[in-house]
Amino acid sequence: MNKDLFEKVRKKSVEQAIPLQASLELTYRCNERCTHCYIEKFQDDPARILELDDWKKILKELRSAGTLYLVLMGGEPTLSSHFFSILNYGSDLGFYMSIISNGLKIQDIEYARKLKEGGLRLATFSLYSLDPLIHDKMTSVKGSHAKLMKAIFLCRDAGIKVSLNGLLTEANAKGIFDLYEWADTEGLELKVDPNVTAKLNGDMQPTLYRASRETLTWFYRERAKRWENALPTPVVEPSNAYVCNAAKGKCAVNPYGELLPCIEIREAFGSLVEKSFAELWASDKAIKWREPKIKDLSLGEHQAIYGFCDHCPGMAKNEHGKPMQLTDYTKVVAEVKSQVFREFQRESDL
Amino acid sequence: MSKALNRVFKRNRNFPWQTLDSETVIIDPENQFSFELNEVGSLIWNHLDGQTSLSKIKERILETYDQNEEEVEMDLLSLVGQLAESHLIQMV
Repeated sequence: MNKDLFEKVRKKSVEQAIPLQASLELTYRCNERCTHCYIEKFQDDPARILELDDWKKILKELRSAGTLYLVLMGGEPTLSSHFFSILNYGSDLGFYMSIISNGLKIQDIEYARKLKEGGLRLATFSLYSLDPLIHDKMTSVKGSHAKLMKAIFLCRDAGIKVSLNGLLTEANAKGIFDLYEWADTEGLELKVDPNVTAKLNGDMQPTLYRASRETLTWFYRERAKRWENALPTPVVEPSNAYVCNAAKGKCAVNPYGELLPCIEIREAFGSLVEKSFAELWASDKAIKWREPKIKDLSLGEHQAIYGFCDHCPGMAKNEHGKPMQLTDYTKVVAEVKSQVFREFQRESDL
Repeated sequence: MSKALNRVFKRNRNFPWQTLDSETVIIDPENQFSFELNEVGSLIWNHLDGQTSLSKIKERILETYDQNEEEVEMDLLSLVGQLAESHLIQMV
């Protein structure tokens, strides 16, 4: 979408709490076991998992609520028995359909074409390294790297836009710039983010894989040296700006049909099978997550570096139970970004 | 009445869209382009469902807005022509 129109639509969605983007977790099942994954159990409760008709009802309601972008995710969304039906139904309703997938099921051109014909516009894959040993170690599945590379090219050949998520951890940091260069050569958008989140039940085990302060400093410095526009710069927002877009311009639905403010905040507003979207979206719980503003955050001594913070209330709630308080890791990342920013400023002043 | 008004069109599912606040945004994912329709255009777009004829859509517009019938017909056919030319809709 052209920038001005997108900005106009985005602004409208935030101001009027129109959930422009909805993420649908079709299943918790997955055929990988990523060491850093936030999902606690890779299985669904058969008594609660949604039927296709339930999903169709939810899609219709999201459509009426103003959703344009649907993200099918999981677990691994292609493992859902309703995956293709939901993809086709969503396209027929007019949604922009995308998936976040590990690519393991996309292993021949017929499958990729079926995705394209089903209306898939964007496939986002998590690629951790160009080194198969590192990628496979992170996914705990031998051969997953080779299969993912195949899926990337099959989707592209089928005419589906492909983008990549590359998490920054201690395990893959060394090769992260090789990954950037490869993605650039292939014309693929790559996003690298150091935010490894705790498991949904608060288990901190995945956070052990987070990049250290030293690795983060090296990463942000090196990235800024390579690309001028990659220098971390502070985002200045007024204190009455919203902390995030949860329960305003975006929402999420779990495999049991519960409406969530976003993927990260796991406090459900209620069941979309039992109640209407409009009722749940206007509930006290939704309003509670919609309202937080920057001035409501407990920033303490970190006020000065807030502009560098990627504070996520959901991650914070999960990690230490206080959504309006920065996590220690968010502070570390912000401190590193601020340090690198100042270093480059000094250099340019000389 | 123009014979063209008997025609029925349906939206091309290759173009995701949404109507927000009576205005419609249509995305062309292949070409990274988007279209915007105003309130009347949105009413027309929302009725291009493969079942409603253009004459029925004209009636809906006249029921909703106080406008001259001839002008409505001309504007309707003009917009439908543009949408069809851009492959955003196809005749059923």
